Amino acid sequence: MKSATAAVRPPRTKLYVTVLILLAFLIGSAVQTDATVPELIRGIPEIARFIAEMFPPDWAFFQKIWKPMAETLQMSILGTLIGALFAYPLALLAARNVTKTPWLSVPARLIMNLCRTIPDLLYAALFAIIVGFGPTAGTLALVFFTFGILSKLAYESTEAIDPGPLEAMTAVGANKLKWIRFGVLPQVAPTYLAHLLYTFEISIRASSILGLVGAGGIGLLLKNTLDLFRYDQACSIVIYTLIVVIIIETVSTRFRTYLLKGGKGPASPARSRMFTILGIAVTLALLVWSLLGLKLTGFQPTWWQFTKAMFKGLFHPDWGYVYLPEGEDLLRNLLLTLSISYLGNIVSAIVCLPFAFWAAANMSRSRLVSGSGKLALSLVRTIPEVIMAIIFIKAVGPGPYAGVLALGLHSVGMLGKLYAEAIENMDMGPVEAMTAVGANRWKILAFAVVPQVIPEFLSYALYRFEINLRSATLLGMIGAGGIGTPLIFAINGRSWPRVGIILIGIVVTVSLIDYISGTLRKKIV
Amino acid sequence: MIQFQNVSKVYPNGTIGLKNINLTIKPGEFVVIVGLSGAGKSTLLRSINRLHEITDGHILIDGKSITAAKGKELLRMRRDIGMIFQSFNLVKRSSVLRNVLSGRVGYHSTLRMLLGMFPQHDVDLALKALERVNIREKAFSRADELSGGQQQRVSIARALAQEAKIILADEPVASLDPLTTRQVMDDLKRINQELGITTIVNLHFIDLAREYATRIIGLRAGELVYDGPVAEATDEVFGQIYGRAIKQDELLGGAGH
Repeated sequence: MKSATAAVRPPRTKLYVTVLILLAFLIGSAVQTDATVPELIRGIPEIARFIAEMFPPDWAFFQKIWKPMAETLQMSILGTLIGALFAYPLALLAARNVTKTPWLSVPARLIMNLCRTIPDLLYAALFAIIVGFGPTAGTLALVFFTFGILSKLAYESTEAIDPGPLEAMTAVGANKLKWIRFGVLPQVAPTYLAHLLYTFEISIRASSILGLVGAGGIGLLLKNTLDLFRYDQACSIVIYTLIVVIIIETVSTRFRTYLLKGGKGPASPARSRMFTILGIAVTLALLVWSLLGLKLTGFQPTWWQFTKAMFKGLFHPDWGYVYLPEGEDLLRNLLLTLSISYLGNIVSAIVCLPFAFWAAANMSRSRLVSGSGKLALSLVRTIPEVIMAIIFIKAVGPGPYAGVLALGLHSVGMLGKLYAEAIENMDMGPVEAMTAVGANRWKILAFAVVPQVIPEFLSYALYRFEINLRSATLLGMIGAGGIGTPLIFAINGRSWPRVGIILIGIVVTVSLIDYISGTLRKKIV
Repeated sequence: MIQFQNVSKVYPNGTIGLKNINLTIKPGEFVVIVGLSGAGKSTLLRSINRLHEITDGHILIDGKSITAAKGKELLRMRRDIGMIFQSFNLVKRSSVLRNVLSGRVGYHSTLRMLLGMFPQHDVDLALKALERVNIREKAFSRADELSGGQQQRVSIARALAQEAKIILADEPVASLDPLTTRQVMDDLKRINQELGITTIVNLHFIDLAREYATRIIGLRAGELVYDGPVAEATDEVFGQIYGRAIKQDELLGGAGH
């Protein structure tokens, strides 16, 4: 029997090696970004002083805010609708169960993934150069940005539909368009709409920061007030923006749940018809409002030359920039970016732990406790990392350290929420058993809770790392260190070959990390 | 010795859980509690280690009131009471040994336990406990690699490693098939006889109750309606406890004989 051999304690070398590697990365990143513990502590009073100056907010500033705020909304409405116009057909082309010919579906998926790798701020910076500063650039950026998100979401839900009705439509003898109209669309319509709303929520957040690189909306105003050291006004901008974002998200989430889960009881045909008409009317009204409100006149006459020059440059990347002996090259900047996101990740993964236990409903007796924890997390979460970054830049000066803080703090909100959910979803049986054994709170935590949630925690942290890396590539564009800094210089200087090589570097790094992290995550769970 | 003195439990919504229970369970007994679901079996069992609070009366363990115990005293008293659950309540991702060792946490300081440092003596104790339930060779397997019956034996080993003087088993075989049911019940019985650990088991299979118990306690709507030796617990008595004739699904049947 195997009994004798199986009873030997398995070696733990793998665990020790992993911990050592992670620690080595941590030290390396800290050195790279100058974000050591003393440095962190030194920054705290400066951040505190900065926050003190933000209060009380200049509430009267609202009069100047509402116009750019409207512009922000209009940009995202127009951007999302145009993006959706292209995203759905592409999703159908990319879905393997709808488009059976690989030479159509493979390129469709390629376009989709390519659009998704480029972040919102980068689109905005590029379009600001091509069509000139202003809302036109912002709208175009949002078109591409939402297109990337929405096509991916729609593609995934399309591939997941029930093949039965499709088969039935084939059997009836429907041609491809009829087949889609009666076999596919009825199945995906609610999901497609829910995705549209979700994308709209994301695009509003994006839209509010695009102004930082000159693409219209509230971001420009925020940048101006910060440059004038009017932190009280900046604070009121952030607060007003958050209020608008939260209101829209709440309404939109309501609709999304309704779309996906349905209302109470079966919907009567008359009522659902009314909803459809109402939805179309509201959408049209918003569209008209956006078209009339936006000054989409910023198109420079030279845009075509710029575009040509850009593409030419992008296809002839500046390979010499990959490594320069004197430093400040692509590789070192990418390494710095990786360090920023890794460090930010570690910071948030540790800081969010108490928040997660605070917010988890099954870790405290009263709903009031966990509810307040959830609220705190969602407040942290609503402030976009880019806004956090410009705030930290003002507080601790430009550089990677501000980037680490921004990513770290923003991720606390996201990771804390995921962690809290992991805690809530765990099996409470072992907790009961440990209580019966006579364990106190800490021992219960160590023996019943931690072993259960650790794999989920690790997996979420890795997932967050993938997202943080994407954000870290952007943060440099507004001065928070990393690859974004040379990128924005190259864009503003119109040195397209340099932009090309940096983009290649970003895409390769992001894809590589995605691949590694994805593999690890599969192993963990 | 476990003493129930006028123990009552009323839920906040007014439902009666237990009604004026008076009971004395002597060391080394193998008591089986029977009754319909909702009769208060689980409440009674869990009130002994205060996983459920009672609203009136006192429960004494070896003369000391657990009802009045607070803080560390309560934890210390729980340390001497092992518990076996219907759904095993093991940490599925942890190793079998670690699950068994977790029964020992009451013996060491919090800091030491946060670091997970068990003395060799504890490890030996845990391995011996596993040996007693015949799964010593699974010590380093992950708990979820084991079958249901094996997992339940791990949780028995946890109670043994705990060096409990009392074992409470709440429907220990409800999620097991008939064959493993008997193996688990045999383990409980053997431990009861060899180590003299007082054992209280909730069961809904009447024939199992008769086969293993030395004493049967019948509950009906939170009230003690029968308390006596197995020999006197006739079908008629069970009919009274249940308020109706015994149904076929309340018998495990002849499997395993």
